[in-house]
Amino acid sequence: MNRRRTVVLLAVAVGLLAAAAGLLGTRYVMQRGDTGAVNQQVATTERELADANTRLAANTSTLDELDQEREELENTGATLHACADPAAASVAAVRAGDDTALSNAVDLMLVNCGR
Amino acid sequence: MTEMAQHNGFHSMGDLTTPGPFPLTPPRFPAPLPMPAPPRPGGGRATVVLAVVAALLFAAGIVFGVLYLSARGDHDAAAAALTERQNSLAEVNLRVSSTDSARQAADQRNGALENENTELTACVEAVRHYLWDGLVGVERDAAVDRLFTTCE
Repeated sequence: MNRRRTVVLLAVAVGLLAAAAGLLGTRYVMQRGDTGAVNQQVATTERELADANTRLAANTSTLDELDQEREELENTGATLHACADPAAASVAAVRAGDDTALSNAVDLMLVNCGR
Repeated sequence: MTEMAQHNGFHSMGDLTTPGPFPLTPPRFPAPLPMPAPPRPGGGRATVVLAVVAALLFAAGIVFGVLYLSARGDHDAAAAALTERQNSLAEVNLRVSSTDSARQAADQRNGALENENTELTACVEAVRHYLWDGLVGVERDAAVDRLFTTCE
């Protein structure tokens, strides 16, 4: 009678423990699968991040180059303007018949249009 | 069905989980009184086996529980890492697109400056030619014409 009850109780306990172990085992495996998927996403994102950083670095250096180029162009432009502006003024003075303005413009041209 | 159960109860002592008081009475009654040894192999072994299985399952449950908790921690860490990387990526992408447009603007601006400088250079060359090349007569007139068209 007692042993029978023990056996029944043990059988019930075995059933419950099997269910609990199965549940926990399943959840563990599922959780690990989920983590694997997330880690894969992390790896993908990191690759994208590396690509984006490479592009950013390329853009930054290109911007630096363009800035330098712009500075050179502006310097060249300033030199050219120093000569071309009085030249344009001289043309305008000739058209207007303004001898004083022409003389001033030519003076500037002689100074700024040297070789 | 009941016939089968009864039949089984009589002949197999192993089926002790199904409550069958009637079929089990014959083997259990005489056994405990004279000597406790004979029923042990049947009921005792089942008890021991079940206890061992229960202990193993309990241990397995503990192990899986611990593993599950640690896996959940790993998952949380991975999710946090993902969020962080995604935020960084969004930020960097934003900067990439802003530098993209800045690059485009700088390209355009430099192109405009280059065009302007080309025009100015034509004028300056014409002026220099007129001023310093010691021109006379027709050549000089041509140089003045060129100065007028390029510098106006």
